[in-house]
Amino acid sequence: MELDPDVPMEDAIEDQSLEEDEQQHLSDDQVFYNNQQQPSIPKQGPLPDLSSSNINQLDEWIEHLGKCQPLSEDNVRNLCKMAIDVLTFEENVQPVNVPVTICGDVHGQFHDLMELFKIGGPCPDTNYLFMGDYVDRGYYSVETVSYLVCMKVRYPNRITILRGNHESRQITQVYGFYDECLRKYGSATVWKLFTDLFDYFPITALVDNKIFCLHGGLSPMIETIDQVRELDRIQEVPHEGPMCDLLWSDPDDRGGWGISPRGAGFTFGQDISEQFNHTNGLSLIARAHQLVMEGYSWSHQESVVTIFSAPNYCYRCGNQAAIMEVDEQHNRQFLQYDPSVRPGEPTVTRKTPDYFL
Amino acid sequence: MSNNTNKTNQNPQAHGIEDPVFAVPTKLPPNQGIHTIQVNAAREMFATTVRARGPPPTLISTTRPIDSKEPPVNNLGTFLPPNASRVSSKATPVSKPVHNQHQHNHEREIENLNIQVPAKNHNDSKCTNPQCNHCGTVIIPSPVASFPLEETPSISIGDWEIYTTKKPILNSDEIDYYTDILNLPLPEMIFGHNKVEIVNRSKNFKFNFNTIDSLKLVENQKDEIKEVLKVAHSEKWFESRLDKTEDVKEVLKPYDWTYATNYKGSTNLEFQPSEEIQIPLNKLKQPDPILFFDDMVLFEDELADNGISLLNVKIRVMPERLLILSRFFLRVDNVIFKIKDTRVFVEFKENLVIRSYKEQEAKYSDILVKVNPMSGDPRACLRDQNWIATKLPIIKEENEFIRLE
Repeated sequence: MELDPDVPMEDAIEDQSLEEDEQQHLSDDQVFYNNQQQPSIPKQGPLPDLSSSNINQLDEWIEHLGKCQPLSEDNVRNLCKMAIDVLTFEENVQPVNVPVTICGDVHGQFHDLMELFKIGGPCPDTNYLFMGDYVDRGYYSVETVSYLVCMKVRYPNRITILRGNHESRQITQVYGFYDECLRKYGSATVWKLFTDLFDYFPITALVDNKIFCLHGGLSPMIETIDQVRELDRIQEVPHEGPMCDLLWSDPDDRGGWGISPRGAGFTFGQDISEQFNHTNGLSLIARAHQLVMEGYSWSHQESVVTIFSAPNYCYRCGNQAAIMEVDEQHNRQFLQYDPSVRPGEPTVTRKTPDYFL
Repeated sequence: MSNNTNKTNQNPQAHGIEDPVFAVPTKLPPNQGIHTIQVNAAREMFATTVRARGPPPTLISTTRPIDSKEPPVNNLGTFLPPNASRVSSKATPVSKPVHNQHQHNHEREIENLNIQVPAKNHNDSKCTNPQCNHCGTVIIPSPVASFPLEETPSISIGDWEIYTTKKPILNSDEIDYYTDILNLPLPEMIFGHNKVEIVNRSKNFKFNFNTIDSLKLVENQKDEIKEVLKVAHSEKWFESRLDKTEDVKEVLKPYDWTYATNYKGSTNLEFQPSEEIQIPLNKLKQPDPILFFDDMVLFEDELADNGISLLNVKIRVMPERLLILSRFFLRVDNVIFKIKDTRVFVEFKENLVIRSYKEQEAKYSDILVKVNPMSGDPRACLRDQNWIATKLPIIKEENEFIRLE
């Protein structure tokens, strides 16, 4: 996506003292697989309570971010540390209770995320489940992901944030988050802090044992939800294997498993979805990952729903966004919404008349 | 069930022209130079954009349209909020009243050209490129923030009419419909209603670039796919699958998933191939005022985050000629680059239409080595279409023309 010049540019930070390991220059392999952190094992047991000073700190950050102002690098460092402490307690299949509002891709469209909370009701009064893709493409990936992570740490039982295929080192380098971090912080440190944090995000959620939520779709190597529980999720999104499929695959009109003509990636048909729901006693698979004009779209005779929550995607697609409310009786309701309109905001790509040849 | 929130757009201040004042970062720490350059480049782009929202500086005329009774609404040089002027311009579509006090050469020429906004056969849809009430200058549309997002500007110069249409991506029903017709899974962002069109009714000539026709040329039969591209990690992906996924079906419906179309536009007349007649670059390099400009995507697909496939069309209309550039751009990360450009040039008075088509292509690795290793983010170069276009070798080039009788 092209850079929209209307986005206010942050000054390069002038007197920043860089730590040794943060002076990353971008040789491919270094940056692509620069996860030197030792994977840690998810922790069990109850989540420790937040101290009151932490609560104050988080509330301050949330207020600050609510104005679409990014946190300082040091604060991001502290936030990510606190978030890892919270997310290590979550499971690969994170249990979620009803009522809950399920949301799809946000993609750095911060103001539309604020609109989402207006439409769906403020968090923590409403429980939220986000199915990944918080960063890239929009112009406020930093603010968007910082805000959601802050909310997660502040209200860990009220909001669930899953991992999408864009919560990865490799993808964010191509589709905007990396560039945005450089632009707003003058170095790649914040990008590294967040992408290291992404490894801890849960990959699926199970709403009241009935709705299986994940970013992409099913995998031929996963027949039962228990098999998801056995995966080692704390790593960069791999290029192959079940974890990759869960974040990448798409439903298709064709039956059975299909291989994308691109030469990687699966599609799954209605028979597969129905079998999976039957085996696992599910009523629905909710997923995101694909742009749909109406904000949501049913497939496979209502055994799969796609939810997309970035209205006017990339500031020019003109699509609506949607979220899905599930109440205590498992009634579902879709709320569609348009982009939030703000003075000075890019709404579609602006073009300068130019003497192109 | 839906709960549509109705938004009205309006933020006139957002369109005001101002002199952007930027703080220049002083004393930079070592190793951060490249970031600063990025910031400055972005600022320049920003400043250019802000300036560009005003009337083009080369087309100067300070009197108001003669048939407009409204008082001047703005100080000279201040840009009108597009909606304010749109409304009044719709009420009184004004035909070329530009009167100049500055006596620039080209302005005198413009006066004889019979420029109309909107174009003389503009249908009932809203004209989105009004003339400024104050100075009569054609306002190049600034984006609107209201839904449904739709822009249909137009202009005519003599017998030549130029229309463009921008609408949202197709909805689900439309996607189903066209998927069947085209026998092809559509690109992710499919602007199926977008169009750039030029018409000369007196010569019975029509030409347009539209999305659906462009996709008709995408190979969708197994035997016609000449070159089977795979994403970079495909081999690895297949290896990991060999034993575990026997029941997985083959690629059932193969098609060119890169959407590499060699679309050259849709027209009702035939062009004649020619080696001699070429688009006169020197004429296009003159700083003629741009009376009309548009730039739109017909389709875009990020290839499941393996790169980008994009068909983009730009048009600029000057008093005596116009140029359209339709560019197909493909980047499959770590695999290949392709560019397919179609340029259409019209010299109005000569009724001459020239079309040139050019294909460029190279392996990803061949271009990667041309990136300056000192630049901070090599990928930034590889995302820059214009930079890529200067590096890719040309593999095919052809010129055609029509002289309308």
